[in-house]
Amino acid sequence: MEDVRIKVEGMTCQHCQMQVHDAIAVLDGVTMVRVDIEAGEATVSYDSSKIDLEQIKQAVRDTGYQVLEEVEVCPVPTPDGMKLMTESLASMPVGAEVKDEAPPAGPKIAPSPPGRIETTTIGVTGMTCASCVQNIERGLGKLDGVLKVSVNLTTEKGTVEYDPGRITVHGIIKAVTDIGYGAEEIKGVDADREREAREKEILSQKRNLILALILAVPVSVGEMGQNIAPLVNAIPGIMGFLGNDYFQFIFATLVMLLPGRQFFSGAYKGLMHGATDMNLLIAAGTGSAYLISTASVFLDLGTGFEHKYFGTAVMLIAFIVLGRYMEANSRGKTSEAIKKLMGLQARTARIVVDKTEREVSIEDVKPGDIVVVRPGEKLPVDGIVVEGRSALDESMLTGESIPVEKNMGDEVIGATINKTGSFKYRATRVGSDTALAQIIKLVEDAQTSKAPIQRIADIVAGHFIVTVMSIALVAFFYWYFIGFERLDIAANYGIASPFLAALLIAITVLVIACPCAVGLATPIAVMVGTGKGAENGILIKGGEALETAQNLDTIVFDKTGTLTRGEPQLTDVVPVGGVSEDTLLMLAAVAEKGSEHPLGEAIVKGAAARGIDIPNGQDFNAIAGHGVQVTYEGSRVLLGTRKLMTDNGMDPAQLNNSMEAMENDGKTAMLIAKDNGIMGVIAVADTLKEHSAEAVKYLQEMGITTVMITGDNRLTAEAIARQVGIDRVLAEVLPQDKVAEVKKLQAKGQKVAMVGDGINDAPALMQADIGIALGSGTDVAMESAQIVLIKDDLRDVVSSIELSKRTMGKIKQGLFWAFAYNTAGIPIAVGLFGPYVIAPALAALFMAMSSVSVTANALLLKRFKLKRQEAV
Amino acid sequence: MAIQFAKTLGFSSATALAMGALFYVLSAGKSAALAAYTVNDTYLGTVFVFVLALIIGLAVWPRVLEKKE
Repeated sequence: MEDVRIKVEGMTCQHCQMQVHDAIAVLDGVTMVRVDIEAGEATVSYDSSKIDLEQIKQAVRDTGYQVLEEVEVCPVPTPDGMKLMTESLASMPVGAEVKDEAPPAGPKIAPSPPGRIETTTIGVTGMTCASCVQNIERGLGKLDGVLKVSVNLTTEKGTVEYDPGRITVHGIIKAVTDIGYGAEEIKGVDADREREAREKEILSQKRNLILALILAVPVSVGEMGQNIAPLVNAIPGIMGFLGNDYFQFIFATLVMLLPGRQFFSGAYKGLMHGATDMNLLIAAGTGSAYLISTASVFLDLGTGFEHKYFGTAVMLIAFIVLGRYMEANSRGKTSEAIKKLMGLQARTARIVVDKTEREVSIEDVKPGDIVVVRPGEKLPVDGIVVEGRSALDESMLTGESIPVEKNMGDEVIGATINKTGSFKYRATRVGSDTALAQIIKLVEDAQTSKAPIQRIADIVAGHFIVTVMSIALVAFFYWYFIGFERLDIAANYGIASPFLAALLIAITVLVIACPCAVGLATPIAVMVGTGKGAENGILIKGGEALETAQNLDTIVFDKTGTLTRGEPQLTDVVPVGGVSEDTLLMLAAVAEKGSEHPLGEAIVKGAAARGIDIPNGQDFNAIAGHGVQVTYEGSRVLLGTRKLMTDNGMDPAQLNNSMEAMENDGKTAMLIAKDNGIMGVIAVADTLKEHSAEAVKYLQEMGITTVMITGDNRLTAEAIARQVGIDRVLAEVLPQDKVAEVKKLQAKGQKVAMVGDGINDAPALMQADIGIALGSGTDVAMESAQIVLIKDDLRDVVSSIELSKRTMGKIKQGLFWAFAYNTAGIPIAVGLFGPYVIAPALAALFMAMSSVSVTANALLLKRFKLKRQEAV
Repeated sequence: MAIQFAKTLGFSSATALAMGALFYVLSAGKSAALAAYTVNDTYLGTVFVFVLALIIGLAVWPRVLEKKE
């Protein structure tokens, strides 16, 4: 006998529960079934000799429900105690206690290892404003086992850190749905799901809008009555029909039940859990107008209640639905960066199987497979070239438009395009491990994260709704008891009922003060900003980095590999005594041939680049710290320092001036001697990257202090600093002391960014206010940094800061306008400047437009141009 | 959960009733003094105030109770 607990998805009611129960219960061999709709699980006892687990799962699937995973397989307890169980640790039910006591008889869920934390991303639907974000974050934050929650209104996603021993993902999702929002777990990146969700939302709001307009316009025209004389004259009898109370009631009811239903159901669900959002304001405003008008149609309410407000209610709904439709469209545009990145992925790959090429789905490519790529094709996964050569267009990832040459042994990245020749490469990273998948994940995480400024906006918006409702209540009291009489509303405005006079004011307040624009301002700008960066090879890991980067005043550059290429190159060849440059270089290359020392490699490469044939030497001997000795054609060749020469009885004085000049320029000078005669000096040096000096100049123009940090001696460091134009040099700094140097700068109150590429830079990247890693650097550096520059171009440091400034500018503008709408709107609505300065329907239009304008303003960020693009 | 909701509903209803009663008393006074204030105004106003106060209560009381706990 076996006991099993399986997770069933899709059960929403008791009927579903019964269906699943019955489907399993009828199976031969099943002895017990218990279906828990709350947990979304079915516990089954069955005779494994008669039926197997797969048949049970299939029976559930056949009823139309999904079997997500096998949660627990629990062997029947034996007399001598419980056997160990195999189960998913993430299956712990909500609120389950983990106790250090003897296990009870029967199935039990083993506790999770202490301190284990998992993170899940959930897609949330039904959010309309910052209050929704607050509601969900507060609701989830209260759950036992949830450690951290961050919900993003724009991406409609939430990231939850939780202890799987105390709560399951299912429990988290259930908590969200209980508050009144839709929720589902997101596993990996699913372009189709995202697109479908967006399209569904846009389509739904479009339908609502069309329906609202078709139904609301006649009602509104009917309510306006004789005020629109041309229409009345054009179609005789039309006003009698449109202005008929019953016609107005029927059409208004349809508006409330169809496009307006979303507001009432949202408000109800939220209110049942103490959650307030803009649905509540709209439902309260439109509901009041509708109910009082309905009452006056069917009941004799006496003087002052002859006028109906159906038109007001339906136009409110129509304008707000218009706002939601436009907002849904705009939100779709903000996530274009992710869509573009996802669209880069190839769908199929051609791999070599048994010496023949076979086209397979990209999911079937495994590390080690040999992938064949032809000209014009997209690379499906990451790998290393094993045969052939070509040039690849990497612009989609780096923004660099010039194709990059790839030869055997070179690394290639999936999603780049093969421009010229066919080649084969060995797959190294596939699926979610590819560079593209990592970039998409990084950008997604960044867009879900929050800038600190957004938290403030969320909190303000979260309390705003209750404040607005309280203001509406106070305004109602004032206009009912004081304002109506004092301003003689009946005589001056034609509203005979004090209740209706005060109600119109209260409705206007409720509608105009929705803080939806406040909630949208930050996430939309962060999405567009990080997306714009990602499209151009600047990966910003979240809103916090974006916010901090704008305040930087000091940038510390690592020297080797960051400002410089990190590979020494041959720079000078100075022969003496009639020897030719080529001969001198050939002798030096013979001495260093086969050397793995970077200086030696630079000499050999330099000689090869000049087309010099490099013969082999004999008796190679490395003299530690001084140089090398080799025998060539029976002669002894020495290459190294002054001391090497003097130790061998030679005087290098004649070359001292040349050597000192080279060393003053940060070069490493080496003497070459043959058979006890000095033949010349050659120098190698680490050279600057192409755009280092330009980047430093731009930063200085922005008022940022530039600092170079290096372990090199001061002479070499200052030589490089002169070339690049850096403001300050920190030389002879040991790798472990880089952190201390960054700390010293921070202690002076400076906002410091560290730019580096190596493992030894990682601690300093973490210590700095912003760590910027180069994509050509180590994985450790990229993980430690908050900004990663995929393209090895230091001008992108400048672009990152500019992008950060622009994005923060948009956030501030958005928040300013959003708060301005509300702060200006409320005094007008409460009647501070006189009653009915703004009609309720117009208030709804204002409110809708505030969201749209904030979104549109943030979208202007798409026009931002990078420094390197400007240079072009 | 159910207890928490019952408490919230109880406190919210009490607040709303108090507000509704306040409005009713004040409005009845006005109605007696001025003809423009009809009985219907009083009744409808009381309902509106009650509903709005109930909504505010349902939003505010859970936070208050949460802080107390």
